[in-house]
Amino acid sequence: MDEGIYARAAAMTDPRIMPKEEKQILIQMLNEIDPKANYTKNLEEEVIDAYDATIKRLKAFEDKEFAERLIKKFYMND
Amino acid sequence: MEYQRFLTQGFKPFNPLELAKETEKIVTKKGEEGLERKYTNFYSVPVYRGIATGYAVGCCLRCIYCWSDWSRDFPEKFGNFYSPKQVAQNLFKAAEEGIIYSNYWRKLITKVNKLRLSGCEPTIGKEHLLAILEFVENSKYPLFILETNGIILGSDKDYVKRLAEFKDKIYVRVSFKAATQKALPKEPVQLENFINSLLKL
Ligand code: SF4
Repeated sequence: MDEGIYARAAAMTDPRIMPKEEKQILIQMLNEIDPKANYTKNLEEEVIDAYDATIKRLKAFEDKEFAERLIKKFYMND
Repeated sequence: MEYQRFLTQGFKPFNPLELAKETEKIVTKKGEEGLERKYTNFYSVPVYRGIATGYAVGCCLRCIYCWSDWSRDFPEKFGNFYSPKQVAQNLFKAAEEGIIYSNYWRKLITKVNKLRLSGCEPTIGKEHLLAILEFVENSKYPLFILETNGIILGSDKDYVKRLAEFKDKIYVRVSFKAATQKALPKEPVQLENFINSLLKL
């Protein structure tokens, strides 16, 4: 922004992974950087969608065997 | 060091800038027409009221909720290399063709005149991106949207300075992933509930 580039912030603020307090801190930080943008009102908020890759990544984090199977699947044809 | 794939319990914390360098080695290569970079696809979509999109391979973060395709985790396995000129041409072509995967959207959005790089992290491969912007600058297209997690730009002032040379046409959308250093969900059982809540959406 200091270089005159038009830039706007978005954030992954899905309450299932970002606590309210953290969202407030983020908005406060963004407002300090760019007060005109008024992120208290205008922050573009992202939520987690149930895409196949998202679900599998979450599952891989939870389940080591699933993660190993997933890795193997990508190397099966090597 | 082994290339960081998706996260698993007990993963070793990593430096995103190091991972960016590792990823860059995989997703870029020198070509006759400048630095080439890997993409999985070029197409137009309805977001931003119609935009031609290049889907860049490889990222420097490993968000567990990431919706990007598997080219994030296995960049060596996905995509093809394109020169900056080819990327620009593919974006222009995708814009000309408009939205082709849905008649519904095609009827609603009849003209696409914005361009963007998205997908994983398009700022990986600095010279490649800057060279694409030269082509965009000299094109009829008025707006180029760069979607980024901001990690690389935040660590490289020269990169931002050089992007500013195209400031009449670019809009940078930085997507923040966190405000504080925080842990991942602590208990696997919490994650199970979390996955279930996602599936119910
Ligand atoms: S920054 Fe974006 S592409 Fe990269 S891991 Fe996070 S959500 Fe996925």
